[in-house]
Amino acid sequence: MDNPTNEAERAAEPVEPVRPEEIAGPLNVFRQHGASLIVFFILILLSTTVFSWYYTRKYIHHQANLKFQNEVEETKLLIKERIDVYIHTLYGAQGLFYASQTVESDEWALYIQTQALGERFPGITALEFIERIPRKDKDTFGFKIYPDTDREEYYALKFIEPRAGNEAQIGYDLGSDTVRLAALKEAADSGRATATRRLSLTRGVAEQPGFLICLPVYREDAPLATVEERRAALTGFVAAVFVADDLLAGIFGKKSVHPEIGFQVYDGQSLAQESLLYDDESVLRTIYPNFHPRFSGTATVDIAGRTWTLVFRALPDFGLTPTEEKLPLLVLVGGIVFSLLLFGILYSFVTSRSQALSIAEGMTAKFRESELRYADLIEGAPDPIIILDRLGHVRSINPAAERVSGYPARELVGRYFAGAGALTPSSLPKALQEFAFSVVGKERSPFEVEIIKRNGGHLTMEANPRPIKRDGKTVAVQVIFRDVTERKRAEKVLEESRNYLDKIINSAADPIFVKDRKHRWVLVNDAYCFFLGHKREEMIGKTEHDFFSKEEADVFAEKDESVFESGKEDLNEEKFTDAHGVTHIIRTRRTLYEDAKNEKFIVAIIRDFTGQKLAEEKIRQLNDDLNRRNQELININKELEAFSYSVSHDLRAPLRAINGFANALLEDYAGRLDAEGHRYLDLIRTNAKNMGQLIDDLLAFSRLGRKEIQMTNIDMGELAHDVFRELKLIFPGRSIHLDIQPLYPARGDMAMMRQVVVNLLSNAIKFTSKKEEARIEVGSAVQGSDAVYFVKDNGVGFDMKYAGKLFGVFQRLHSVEEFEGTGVGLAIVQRIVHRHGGRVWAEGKMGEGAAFYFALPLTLEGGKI
Amino acid sequence: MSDTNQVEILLVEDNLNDAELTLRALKKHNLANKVFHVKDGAEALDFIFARGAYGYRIMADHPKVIFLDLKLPKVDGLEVLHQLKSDERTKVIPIVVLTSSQEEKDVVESYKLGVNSYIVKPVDFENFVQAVSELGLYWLLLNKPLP
Repeated sequence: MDNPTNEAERAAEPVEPVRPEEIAGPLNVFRQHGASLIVFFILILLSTTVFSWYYTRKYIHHQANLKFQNEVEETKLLIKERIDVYIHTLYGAQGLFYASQTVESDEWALYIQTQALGERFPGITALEFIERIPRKDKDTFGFKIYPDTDREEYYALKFIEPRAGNEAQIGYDLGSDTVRLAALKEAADSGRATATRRLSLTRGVAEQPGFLICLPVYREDAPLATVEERRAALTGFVAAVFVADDLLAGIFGKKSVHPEIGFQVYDGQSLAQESLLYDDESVLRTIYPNFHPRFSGTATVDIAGRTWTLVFRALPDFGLTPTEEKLPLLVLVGGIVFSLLLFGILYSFVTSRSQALSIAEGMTAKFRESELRYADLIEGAPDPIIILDRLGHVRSINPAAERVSGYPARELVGRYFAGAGALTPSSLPKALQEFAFSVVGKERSPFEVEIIKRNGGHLTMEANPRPIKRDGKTVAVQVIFRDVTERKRAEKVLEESRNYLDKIINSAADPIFVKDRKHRWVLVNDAYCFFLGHKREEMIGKTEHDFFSKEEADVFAEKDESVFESGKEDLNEEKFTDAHGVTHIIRTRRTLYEDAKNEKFIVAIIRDFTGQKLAEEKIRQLNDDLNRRNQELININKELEAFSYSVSHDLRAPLRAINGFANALLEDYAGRLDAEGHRYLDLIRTNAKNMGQLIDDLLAFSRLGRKEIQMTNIDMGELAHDVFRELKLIFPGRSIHLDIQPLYPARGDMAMMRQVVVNLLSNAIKFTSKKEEARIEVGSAVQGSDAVYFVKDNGVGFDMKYAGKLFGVFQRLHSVEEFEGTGVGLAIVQRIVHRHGGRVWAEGKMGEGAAFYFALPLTLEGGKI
Repeated sequence: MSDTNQVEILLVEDNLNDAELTLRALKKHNLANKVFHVKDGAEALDFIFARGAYGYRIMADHPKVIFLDLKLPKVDGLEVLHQLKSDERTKVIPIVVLTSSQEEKDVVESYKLGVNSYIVKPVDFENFVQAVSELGLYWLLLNKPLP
């Protein structure tokens, strides 16, 4: 944008030094300015001529128009006046009925004839008397009323004059015609003469436009103050019938209003064909088809309660006298001739000074050349350029401007730029302001204007005005335009994408802000505004020092500064007090952003960790509690372990000693003991052994709780068979019938599950020992999501009321003498099954055997027996 | 049993009852004459490594087998086991842990340290005698020690 301007200015420079005085020397004023003076005088004369011609023409036209208006006014008055006369005639007829209550046909005829209807009032076609006849009197009326309609009352034509040729109309009910009825009613109610709307009247075979004016006739002496009284008093009407053509002919004679004015009369204010009453323009139009009226005008006139519209159109010929009309031309021709003559005289005078003039030409040659160069530049410039003079008139426009605007130079040159219609109204104020700045010599930045092209299209352009100066004074303003429609579109796209981004940034839940190098906010999102409790407008351009305590703000500023300096992203936890005095723990991620102009910004995203921190703190506390308890449990367990360890060592050692030394006594002193002594020693040994067993079982039971479960797939059928084989060795000589059905596989710790099977089977074997033939049944079934295994025997059974005690530690339902055992076996079974997520229960009956069940969750790979 | 260099069985046992019963069992099979009894782990180590009160001993004349209780005063059985089995000079000596502990932990630890046999002392004396006798017979008579 800058370059073309500079070029143009440089090109314009050489104009400066061209000064006629320097080249031509001391010539007199006339020599210096001779040619231009002649042209100047001639131009003055010519313009005076044109001015005079223009005003003369205007004056003549004005006079003609006045003449036309006079004609219009006269015509209007004439019509009004004549109609009024007719109405007066009607009042006369009305008076006739008042004077003598009953009027006979002859009296009526006489009145009309004395009024010399046809001659005095050529416009009236007929005068009528219409009688109001109630329905009951319909048949007593002297004539037949037609058309035959059934109505409250009839308005029948009784008299008509001239009678000849109109006899057929007598008896006609005017109330049967809506147009006539409307006027009659209006007249009756108002008591005034009332005209009908335009009617089509039949005369002979022709239909002609016309109308009626009717006047009500009331009973004499009846009160007529109100509408009701008038209606009650109504006896009939007198009416005048008008054919419009006759009426108007009666007014103007056979000629028209004015031979050069077309005239139309419309009923009402609509200029529709159906309301046309009278038209003499049609005659003119046959002579001058498609004439363009020199003047036209309308007037309205009130006719008995209706308004007529009169339309006048003057022919082009209409006007003043021919001589008067030619006056402007005479002025023009005369003026020009005079100017030319004067020019000739002056020219011959000036040619004698041709040498001086040729010098002057030489002087201007350089000027022209430079002007040419400047013109070339402007002509060739790709951007539209216009040059305005100091007053804002377009001095020249370049082809690019012509091309872009669509205006040829001749249509713009010489026009005031603001009045040429090439700028939109909204662009004008700015353009005028900028022009003013240029004229006073100020250089301004480019501004945008909206151009209206010749074809009506709009263009947004950037205008760059530059004053062109001579001797420090602005002599012209050069304006270079650049089409920025595209750029505007791009800006719009950019704005849209900025809006889009804004929307994204503002919908982010995390507060986001951008700060410039001086720590001033340049962007804050909604979340940040909400976070701080301030409006965006309050924050933009401010710093944290305007909102926070100095202590907090200093911390923020320091963090910002370090990112500005290092350029490294920073993730920092900060304390921060919001607008409501609530302290937040926030984590701010600051990143450096450097724009295309190398300006640095901090882009920061904040995450509020306050809630999370609290939750974390709570979790940490819970964890601590848990750890502490866990540690306590571990300690307790350790103590328990130590206890068991010591039990297993220290409790068994004395038992071993008791047993051992009792045995030594038996061996070494057998001879000295009698039978009772032997029995006592045996009892000591048996009890010691039992206690040893008790301790072993107890230890085994307590170990179970600690032992880790090693899950494997277990073929329960195989396990049962295996265990049974071993148990048979322990119980030799027993006759046991064992039935092991196919069993669901299980998933569990092999050793533990083996313990379960061992305990249950050995129990079954033990408690069937009193039976001659022990029957033991092992099986499984699916119950819901569990596999249920059972061991049934036909042994001694148990009382179901003790079923709950069966699985307790050291719980026994039988004496040791009856069945040996420590009462730990089933407790171990229960503990193992529970540790596998299963359950145990038992069913039994005294003397009829027992069934022990345990259920384990079905394995995924289970389901196959 | 004054000749501590002729010891064939070193019995490490703090419980005198157990010790007596063990000896009695060994005696039944005529294995008791070359048994030496020490009452804690420290003494056991002194004996084997011929130091302290046993400094006069010739270390190379080590016993043919050591019966070792685990729960011992001063130095416990597992520590004794560890020291003996980690010393080149003593690791060849067969060690039988003879203990009341059925804890799996003890069993596993003992085998890891290189014990030759792990026997749980039964409460029942007959079983105890049987176990001790079998052990003595096995290690003294049947087992052929390293030359």
